[in-house]
This record gives sequence, structure tokens and C-alpha cells, in this order.
Amino acid sequence: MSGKINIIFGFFYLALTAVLGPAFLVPQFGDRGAAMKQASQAVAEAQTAAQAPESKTSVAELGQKNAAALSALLEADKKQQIVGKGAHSHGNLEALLNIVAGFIILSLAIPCNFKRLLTLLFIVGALFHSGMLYLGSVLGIGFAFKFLLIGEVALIGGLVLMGVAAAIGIKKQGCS
Amino acid sequence: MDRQSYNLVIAWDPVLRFLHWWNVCFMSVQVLTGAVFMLSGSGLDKGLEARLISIHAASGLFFGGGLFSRILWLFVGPKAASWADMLPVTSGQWAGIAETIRFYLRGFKGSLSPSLAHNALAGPVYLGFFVIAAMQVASGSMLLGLPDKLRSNSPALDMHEAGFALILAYIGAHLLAVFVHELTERHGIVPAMIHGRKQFTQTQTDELIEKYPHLNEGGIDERKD
Repeated sequence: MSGKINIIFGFFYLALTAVLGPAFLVPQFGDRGAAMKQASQAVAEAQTAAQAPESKTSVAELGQKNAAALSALLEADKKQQIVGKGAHSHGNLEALLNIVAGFIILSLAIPCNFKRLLTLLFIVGALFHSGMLYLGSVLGIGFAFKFLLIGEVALIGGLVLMGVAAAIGIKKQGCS
Repeated sequence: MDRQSYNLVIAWDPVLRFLHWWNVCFMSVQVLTGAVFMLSGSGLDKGLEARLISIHAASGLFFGGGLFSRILWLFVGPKAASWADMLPVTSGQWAGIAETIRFYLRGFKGSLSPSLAHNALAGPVYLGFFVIAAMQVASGSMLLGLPDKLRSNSPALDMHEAGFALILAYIGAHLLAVFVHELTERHGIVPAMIHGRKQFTQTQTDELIEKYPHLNEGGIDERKD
């Protein structure tokens, strides 16, 4: 079952984290685009004013426009960070990592309990890392962030031990 | 000189040995960098301090990875690596703890019943170490997320420093116990953590086979005279 569980988990988890893109991130592109447009207009106005000192627009007015544009841009960025950018990117990667690791675990000639350990490390790693980012940033369960460390160390453990498993578990082929 | 024949008995699995040395390496980096912070106080150059913090944090995460894997291995690993071998849950293990304490109180005279894996007293001590080390990783991670000004006044820093002292005490006790047991029992416990095999006399091997019948099925790797 080890390895197979990672692949099954990986596909379901990928569906769960991939959906964050169209559901949460794409709708924010409009806001960000508008903020970018406002910012570039403000910068262009400031440039024009600098090149034509006789312009009627006051420095204070230009400054205000620039500050408002920058603030809108930062706000759009902040909003995108809060609603699932990290969970989307890390979740997708960790789901794919589980799928790949699952295939490799299935093919390795290593003891069953070692395979079980690797399976556990990758699943715990994904759930406690991107899973907690998901709970915290998408569902707003703030205390979930406190468990991120478990996922981080589980993934590091899994990756290093996967290297060891590959070193001892991939048998020599006919030619090298 | 009278030479006694002995058997090489498989005690430690490869995963446990790898995790042991992985934790030794990263804990050494942690202790060294931690000692520099403690000894230099606030007199450290800011650039050097930032680099040391990065090294301390990265090796701390690697140490956390090794520790977490070892903790999971307590539940999925073989019997010698399992929690049941470390936690005193049987009357035999309690008798082993009493026997080891008596052995220490006698000034390491006499002999101890052979242990295939962990000594009965060492097992709970290692579990205690896992708890302290896990707290170190957690408190270190909390400190890393704090700005410099808050870091120096944080209760997590006090906890991290107390944990550091406990870990230093543990390292000292562990090395001393390894030295004493190696000197008095001669089971080859240091090389056993490299190649996995402890050495026992024939009488001790027979005693172990009674406790662990699976040793008869390939557990005794080699007999030497």
C-alpha cells in the first residue's frame, strides 16, 4: 500500500489545491490590473510634470496621486497573498511531490517499514505544510499556522530519506 | 592471552543508524553555533551574527527533519527501534532499569544482562531527549519568526537556552555512558551504530535468543573466534 497511498492522496490533494487558482486567484487579477493601470498613469503624469515645469498640476497633487496608486497596488498584492497564493503554489507542488514519490516508493527495493515511513513523511509533510496554509489563509483558521513547522520538518525528513532509499533501493541494471 | 569467541548479532537497522548520525551531525552544528551566540553575548559583529543565525536555522530544520523521522520510526520501524523497546512497559524492562542503577552504584563492577538494542535505563532517557529536542526545534522556529527587538525579550528564548543546557547535559551523559558500557561490557556499541552489529559471547547470545527467538532466523550475522 505504501507508495500507492501517496499517488491517490497526491491526485485528490492536487485537485483541492489547483481549484484555488480559478476560484480565488484569477478573480483578483482584475483588481490588480486596475491598480497597476492607476499606478502607471500616476507615474506617467509625474514624468510629464517633471519634464514640463510650467504644468498646472501641483507637486502635492502629484504626490497624492502617486501615494494612492502605490497604496492600491500594495493592497491588491496583499489581498492576493492572503487568499491562498501560498496554499495554491505549495499545495500543487506537494501534491505532485506525493505522486512522484509514490511512484518511486513503489519501485524501490527497500524494507516495507522504510516505505511506510517515507509514505507517512510525504503525506504528513503536505498536510501540515500546504494543508495548514490552506486552512489558515483560505478558510481563515489562524491557529493552523502554528503547525506549519511539523510539515516543514516532515518534508525535509522525507526528501533526505528518499535520497537514502534511492541510494540503497535502486538496483543495478544490465549496463551502467 | 585468553581470547573469547563472540557472535556478531544484528541490533540496529540501517534507517535508525542513518538517522542517528544525521542527528549527530546537525546537532553538532546547532551546539557549536548556539555556543557562539551564548558566549559572545551581544558582542558579535552584526553581519557574522546574521550568517550564524541562517546556519543555525537551516541546520535546525534539518535536525528537526531527522528528529521527526526518528519519532515516526518509533512507530513504524522494527522492534529494536520501536517505542516499546524504549518506554519501560514490561516488568522485565523495570528489572533492567533497577539492575543498571545497581550496576552504576556498585561502581560498574559485576555484569549486566545483555540488551539487544537499547539498555533498559537508556531507553526512557532517549525518549526524554526526543521531547526536549522537539521543544528546541519548536522554540527555535518561534524565535526565528520574531523581529530582533522582540527576540531578546521573548520567553521562547529562555526556553531555548534552558533546552540548550539540557541538551549539553544529555550529550555529556550519553558519551559517558557509551564510554563506560563499552569499557565494561565490550559489546562494540560504537561500531554497532555504523555497521549495525553488536558483539556478544556465546552465553550472552543464548540468553538473547531466549528473549528474541527471531535471532535464530538470520539475526546472528557472524561467529568469530
